[in-house]
Amino acid sequence: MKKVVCEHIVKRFEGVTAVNDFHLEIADKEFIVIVGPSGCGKSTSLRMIAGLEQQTSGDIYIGGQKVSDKPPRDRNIAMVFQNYALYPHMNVYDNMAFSLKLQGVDKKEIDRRVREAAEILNIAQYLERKPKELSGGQRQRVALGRAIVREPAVFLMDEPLSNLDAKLRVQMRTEIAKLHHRLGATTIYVTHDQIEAMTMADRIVVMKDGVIQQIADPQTIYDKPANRFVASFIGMPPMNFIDCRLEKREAGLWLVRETMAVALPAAWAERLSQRFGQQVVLGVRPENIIPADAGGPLAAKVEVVEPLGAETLLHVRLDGQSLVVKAGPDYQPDEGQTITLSFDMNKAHVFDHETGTTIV
Amino acid sequence: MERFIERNIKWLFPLPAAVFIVSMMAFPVAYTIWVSLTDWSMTSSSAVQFVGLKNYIALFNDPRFFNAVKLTLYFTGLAVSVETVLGVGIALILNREFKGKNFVKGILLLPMVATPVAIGLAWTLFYEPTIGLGNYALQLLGLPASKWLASNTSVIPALAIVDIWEWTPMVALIVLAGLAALPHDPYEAAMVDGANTWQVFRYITLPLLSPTILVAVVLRGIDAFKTFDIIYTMTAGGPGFASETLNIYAYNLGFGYFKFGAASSALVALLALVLGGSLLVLWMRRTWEQ
Ligand SMILES: Nc1ncnc2c1ncn2[C@@H]1O[C@H](COP(=O)(O)OP(=O)(O)OP(=O)(O)O)[C@@H](O)[C@H]1O
Ligand SMILES: [Mg+2]
Repeated sequence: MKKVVCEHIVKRFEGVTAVNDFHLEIADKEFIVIVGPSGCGKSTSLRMIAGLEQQTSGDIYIGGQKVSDKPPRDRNIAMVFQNYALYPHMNVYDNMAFSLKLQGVDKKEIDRRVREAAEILNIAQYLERKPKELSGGQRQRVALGRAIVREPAVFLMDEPLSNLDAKLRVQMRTEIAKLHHRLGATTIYVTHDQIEAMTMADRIVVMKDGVIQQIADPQTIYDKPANRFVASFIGMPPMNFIDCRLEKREAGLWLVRETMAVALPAAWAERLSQRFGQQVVLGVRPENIIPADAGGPLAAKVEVVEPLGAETLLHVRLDGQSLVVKAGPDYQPDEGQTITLSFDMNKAHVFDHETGTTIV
Repeated sequence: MERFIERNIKWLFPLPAAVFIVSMMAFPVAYTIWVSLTDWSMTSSSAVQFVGLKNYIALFNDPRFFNAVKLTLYFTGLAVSVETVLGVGIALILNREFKGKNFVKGILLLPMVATPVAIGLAWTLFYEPTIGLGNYALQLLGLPASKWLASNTSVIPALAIVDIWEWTPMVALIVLAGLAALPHDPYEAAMVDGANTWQVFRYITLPLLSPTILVAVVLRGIDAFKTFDIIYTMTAGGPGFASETLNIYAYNLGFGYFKFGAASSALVALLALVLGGSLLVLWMRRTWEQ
């Protein structure tokens, strides 16, 4: 019974609409990740669920209970703040123990939980230190520890790993995932790291300018982005976008530019039928462009070659447009060389030129 | 010339401050200590003589001195503790947003800008046993009348009330500045951690604010310890010696009996007590912080 429901929440600060019509139903034990660019309203949404910010309109339910007007302490949530928000006058131990002391939890039990959390988070040696004597990453782990000792119904985490180095981040990611398996707490996790989003989420919520763009499981977000923004935001390196005109010829549907022409799968004909002759945007992920030395229909000039070990990134120019191509580690053409490309059209997308919504 | 300034700049810049401290602070203190070791008295015509610790021995054998120390501590303790509690309370109220907040802040400054002699006169009238407002107020509250300044037992509390009236606003303003400088995030964390309003105050605000409160207590403590103007204009140490604090005692020795040597020794004792007290508080703070 730890469902969280946000019913069409709106948050306006003087003049700015930070969050607009945020509607999200989260199942018990679900791990939701909210992603989006800086300033898109992720923290604001989380803070409204926590009760730290009063929504302008809409309602919030936690565990079936309406909590829209309740203070944070009546919501049974734990939160990891983006800026840590540690108690500066308490040492690490007391920071983590504070909520348990308030609840009147037995001293031994407090000690057990704090030490266990400190062990998991690798901060056991800092328990006596004050926050100002810790590095950013260490503080962040204390903030995480303060939340996990509580074993709450709902976890709210606002970029809890943003200040850790790459190795620690991977390690903490698995710790959080393990913790989620063990405690089974419903978790809402804000990040702008898409790897965190893809690896941890049951479902991802993509936001932009205060508006939810898409809610879906990671694979769906990746394979079937709702619009051009989602397509560009998820995936590294980002999807390539090519402005084209849709043309119907005898040999089927074609996307054409000045020198380039790509044939489309026949199955798409129906969904594109309204758009013949119009400008559209073709979206192809770097791994769905297959390079070959010669013989293909699309000739491109290699501008930069980036060998990454496990793969090679090629920055190429095709018909005046820059594209990124992900090739195997052994494929390393010379810079300036002309190669030919072919697109895996079954994994390509067509977006509306103006609105960016996905057509196919 | 320029090169001389360049080379000695670290001496030149503090020079004015050093001159000021030596002439206005160190010299008077040293002079007072020296006088306290002499028998300088306006009533004797013989030359001033060095008498060693004789004045101090006399001081420690004078029951009036110990009475004065006791009364000074009583007055200071009473006034400063009430000022601190009230001042913190007022600051917490003023820290919220409400209409007319700046007006209230302005009103609070008034007691501090009034001249002490005028305050003394006004409060003497207030405490007048038969026609004063003080007893009228007690009567309205259904309490028995007080003799206020005229009784041995009520004179110190009555004087402390005046000090509290005059100086609580200063404590409130210092604490208010401290409150404004507190970080905002720990409050949100405490709310999420489940703290209620009292617990937030007890476990977050108070500990974070304690350095500021301590500053206010030390400033007020030092000042209350040396209070002279209010007490002198209202009771001059009376009735009997019932409000003769250290400063009043020293004044009476010096300008009542013209025994400057003896008065100086009382002042040195006062200085030692103030200094000792302040150091004790600072030491307590440091050990408590660790
Ligand atoms: N207290 C406030 N008053 C006015 N505007 C605010 C306030 N808090 C946030 N905003 C605005 O609301 C929008 C959303 O802010 P929010 O902090 O939710 O972004 P975010 O997605 O968490 O960004 P980031 O990734 O940088 O943390 C921003 O445009 C921000 O300027
Ligand atoms: Mg944020």
